[in-house]
Parts: sequence; C-alpha cells; structure tokens
Amino acid sequence: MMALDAMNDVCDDALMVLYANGDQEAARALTFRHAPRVLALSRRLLRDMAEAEDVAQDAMLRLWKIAPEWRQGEAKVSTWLYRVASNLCIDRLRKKKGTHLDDIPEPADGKPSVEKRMQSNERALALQGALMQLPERQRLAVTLRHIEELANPEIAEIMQISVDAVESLTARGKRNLAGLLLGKKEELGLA
Amino acid sequence: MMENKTDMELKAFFDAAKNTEPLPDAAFLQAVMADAVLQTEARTKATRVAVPTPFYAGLLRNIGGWQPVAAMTACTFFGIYIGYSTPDSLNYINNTQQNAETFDDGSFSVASEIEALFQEG
Repeated sequence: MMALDAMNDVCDDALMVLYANGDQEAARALTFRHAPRVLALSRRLLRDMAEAEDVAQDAMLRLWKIAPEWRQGEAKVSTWLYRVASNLCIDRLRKKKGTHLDDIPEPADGKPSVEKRMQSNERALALQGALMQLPERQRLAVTLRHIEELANPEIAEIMQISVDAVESLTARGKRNLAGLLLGKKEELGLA
Repeated sequence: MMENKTDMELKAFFDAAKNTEPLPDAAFLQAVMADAVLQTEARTKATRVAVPTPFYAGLLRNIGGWQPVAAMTACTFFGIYIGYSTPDSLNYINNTQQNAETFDDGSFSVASEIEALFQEG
C-alpha cells in the first residue's frame, strides 16, 4: 500500500492501471485529484449542489467502471471526466428545462456590500445567474475556458467539436454575459 | 479589441467565481471512494463467477481425466486402421495358421503310431 503523498507524482494513466488491479490508494488519489473539479464544473452547470454531487459521483463511478479497459495515452482522465460530467449535466438540464431558470435567485438588489468577500460572492452569484441564462453549450464552453481555465483544444475534445467552434461559442457566450452583467456593474462595485 | 474589452470587464466576475469555489465535503469524497471499493469487489466477484467451464469439462472429469480419453481415442483409431487396412496382412496370418495345423497333424500321427506299438506290446 502506498501513501496518498506517494501517489502525487504518479500520472493518471498509471493510477488507472493500479486501480484496475485493485489498488484502492490509487482510487483515493484519483478521487482527490479529480472529483473536486468535476463537482465544481457540475455545480456551475446545474447550480444545485445536491444534483452536482450526484453527477460528479456518477461520473467518477463511470471512471471506476471503465478502468480495466482504459487505454493509456488516448485521452486524459480529466478531459474524459469533464466530458462525462458535462453530458450528464446537459441531460439533467434538458429534462427539467423551463422550470430551472425561474428558480435562479437574482443577486442582492440595490444593496452594495461593504466587505470584499460579500462583493466577491455577489459577483460570483451574478455570474452564475447570467451563465444559467446562456444556451447550454455556450455556458459549458465559457465555464471550461474562463473558470476552469482549460485550453481550447481540450475543451474541443470535451465537447467533441472543433477548436474553431469552441472559440465561436466562448465569444458568443462572453458577449451574452457582458450584455447580462455589465449593466449591473455599479451595484456589484465594478463601476 | 472589442473582445479584449469584454474580457477585461468580465474578468472580475470570472475571478470571483474561481474564488468562491466550494470545497467538496468529506461525505461526498467518501461516497466516491466507497463506489471505487464496491466496483473493485463487483469486478473480482464477476471474474470469479464468470470463468466459463467448457461443456466437456464435466464429461472429462467423469471419465477420469485426459489419460483414459487418450487411450480410448488410440484404440478407436487402431480399430479403424484394422478395418481399412489391405488384406495382405490377413493372408499372412492365415498362412501361419495353416502351417501350424500341418505341424499339428504330423505330431498327431506320430503319437498315434507310438500308441499302436504300445497296444501291440
């Protein structure tokens, strides 16, 4: 048994092989490395922590299932997980389309916060609200590019589209976000 | 240019989103790792159960293993060989048998002559 620290330098592909051979420390390392980011992406797309946890757990479960057949060097574990999680999120959003957007709380209205932390939370909340108003694929592209900070080729792989299409989606997404958010600059302390 | 301006204006929002990322709670991580353990157990179990036993395995075991099967197969092929072989070898066997009978006849006649001499005294 290797300690978690000892697994820090082990690449994902090797961890997948170790896990496929029954090593639970490898599973632990993969969980700590990827589950938080998958959860964060799911939460941004779904805006519901409980649902995001379901999706992230489901995505990780699929990773455990595919481990014995994992083909090294073909795809990055993170890219694969993001793809699975984003597809699961989009499925969920499509199932309950029309009800979710109405539930989005608006950021606190007309009460500029004094503390920076509060202000930051309000901006994040405002962004979240605006993201939820974007079409699903624009939301995913913008989230992966500007919040998860992935490169366009990786996003293209996750979304299974061309790099040009990613650039187009993020550009349109940002224009839409700007339209939704920049009118609130003053109340969010950005004027 | 326009794109850069939009990027700059949105940057504060994206930064705020990155800073407010909640940490996953321990229960969630535990659940994910528990799934990993269950999946490993299920895989091990499935491997144990799914090892296919060939249809002839039981038959082979009842017969007594591969040695008797090999002996039976050899006998079968030998039988088939005898059935299909040319009759030359059978003629050889027949000739041998005839010679033996001739010899027997001779020895029988010598014995009967001795017996006759005894009877005559």
